[in-house]
Amino acid sequence: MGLSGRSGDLLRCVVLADDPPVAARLAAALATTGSAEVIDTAAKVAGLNGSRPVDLVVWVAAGTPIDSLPVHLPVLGVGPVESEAMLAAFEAGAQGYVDIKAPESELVEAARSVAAGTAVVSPLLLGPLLRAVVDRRRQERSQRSLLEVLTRRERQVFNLAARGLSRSQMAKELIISPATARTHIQKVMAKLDIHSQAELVGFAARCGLDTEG
Amino acid sequence: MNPLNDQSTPRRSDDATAEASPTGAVLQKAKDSNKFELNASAFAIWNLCDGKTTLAEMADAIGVLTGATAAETLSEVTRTVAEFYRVGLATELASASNGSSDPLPAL
Repeated sequence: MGLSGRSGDLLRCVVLADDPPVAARLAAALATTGSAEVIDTAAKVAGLNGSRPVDLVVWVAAGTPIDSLPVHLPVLGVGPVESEAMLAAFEAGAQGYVDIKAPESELVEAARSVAAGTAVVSPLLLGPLLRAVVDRRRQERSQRSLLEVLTRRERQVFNLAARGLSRSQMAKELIISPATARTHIQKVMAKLDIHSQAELVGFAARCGLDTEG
Repeated sequence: MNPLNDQSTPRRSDDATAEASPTGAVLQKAKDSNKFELNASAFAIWNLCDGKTTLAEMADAIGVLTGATAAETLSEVTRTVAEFYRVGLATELASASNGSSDPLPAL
């Protein structure tokens, strides 16, 4: 029996892990019912995307960075039963998550479901994962409440600084002078007890705000 | 009993014990030995019933994972918790049967 991909052919899985024995074990498990290919960097995933279509990326959480993966590929996270690791996988774009110690059958079933577009979390992992999401959202709300000390204009400056804009870029965006932008950003940092733009970006990320440029 | 709303903070029954099943869990109440089979989503919601997590927070968390809208998830969460209330698997914190007002720890 083979796994069915989007085209009806055997499912093409890429196992993305920086630990070769782990990658080999997962690939072997998937190969029992489909095709799997082990690579070790995200750049190679992108390279495969052209000539050899990939249906699913099996990503070992807390290992290889997932940031540079093509966003349209379904991703199944595999890792420890730790709420932070699970949450990180979903935040990175995974549509499913499986315990790294789960039986092969569970891995294969999850791969099949995620490739077909269905979100998958094993029943025992769903509770801790939801709890982690609730806790994370509370932290974000608590952090965001600190922004209430900012004026409307300061909040605009904060948002732009969080996206990495320079003072001159902020000035252009808000149609103010660079000196005024500088004054606003100084007030923002003083009110939030922040001492650098990098620290501000981290603060914004903890608020759950978009920090992408 | 107050009707459920998005700020309700249900508390799961101390009387029920959970045993994992392939699709979720089976809950059994000690008082009357009644058993309830919960799917994975319902079991996860039951676990969130700690007396301090609101229905809105539960719905929000599910929405984050599934991409569903807040209205869709809140409706589902409310229906599920209402069923817990009906069969005695959860209750409103203020009216907990054992008189305790302490929230439950996370499972």
